[in-house]
Amino acid sequence: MTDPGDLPDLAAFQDLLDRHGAEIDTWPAALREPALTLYRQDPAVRKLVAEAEALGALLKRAEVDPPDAALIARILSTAPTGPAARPNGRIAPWSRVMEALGLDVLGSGWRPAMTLASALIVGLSIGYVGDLDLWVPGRSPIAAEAIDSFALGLTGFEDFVNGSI
Amino acid sequence: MSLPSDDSLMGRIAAGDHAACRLLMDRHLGPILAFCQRVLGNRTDAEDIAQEVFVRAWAKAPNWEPGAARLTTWLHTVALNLCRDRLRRRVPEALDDLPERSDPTPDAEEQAQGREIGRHIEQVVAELPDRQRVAIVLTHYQGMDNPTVANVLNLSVEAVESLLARARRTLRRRLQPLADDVLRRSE
Repeated sequence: MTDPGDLPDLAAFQDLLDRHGAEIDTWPAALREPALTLYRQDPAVRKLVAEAEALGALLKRAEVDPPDAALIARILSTAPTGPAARPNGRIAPWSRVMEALGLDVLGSGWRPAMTLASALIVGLSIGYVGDLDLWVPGRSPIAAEAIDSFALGLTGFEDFVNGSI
Repeated sequence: MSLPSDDSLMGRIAAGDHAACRLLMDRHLGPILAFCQRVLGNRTDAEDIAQEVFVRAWAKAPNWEPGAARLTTWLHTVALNLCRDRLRRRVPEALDDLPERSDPTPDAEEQAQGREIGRHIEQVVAELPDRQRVAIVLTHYQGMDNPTVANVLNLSVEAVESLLARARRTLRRRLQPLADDVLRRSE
């Protein structure tokens, strides 16, 4: 229950209307209840709200034409049509592979999964033929290389393939 | 079937999905174009800027972080910055100089009267100081709440409330006779 002493006077209510608009339901929570109480109690407040609603309705009468076909075509002509380009402008190698396999429809969500899967395969392969020197008691060489390669995958398997690592 | 989210469309655009570009435009081009036109008061400039906004959206798509920001807020922020650049470079065109469009429909007279009222409202809005005008357009036409407007304008919510209060006081004073007419019709 709102204390009548907390209710704003008409001038203060008009200021709140100007700040928050005519839809009291969207006002900040702390203001909503006293405003609604005043709205129910005072016809002068209801008149102010009606005037604010009328101003909003009036503003809506200044319509703007929707975009025409020429503009839509112009913008669509700038839209990308190929596979994902990396931020530096190069096409990611895996994008080429996925496109060749017809799997590019999956969007970009496959990339992290492919990178991790590739790292795991490389890790297991190196571990299988790996140098015994890498063996550390308590740590399987296969697992060790898989872990190392997994980390490599996280830093960019594509860069590894490109020879930059 | 639910519509794809903006985040999902941006992901598809990053993968070169042309259809996703079209869907994104269907959703956002109209509001962005209207926003630019109301801020600039000029259709040709608004179309140029709307195009540039979408070119930037295509470029942004590969780096778009789902959930980090609302696309509509990002688009409006880009549009607003481009509009500001355009406003800085030119003397604003008077709304009176905008060409009349012919209307072949039978109730053309009534529509012409409605357009006249619309043009008057456009002019009153156009004469607001820039930041007040943008705040009013974002709130009344783009349907944003005050915190979102604050985000687009890079201001505090209190500053936005102050802009809106001053703008609405001016609009009320300038549009009072028309608003009273709307009120009488609704009674």
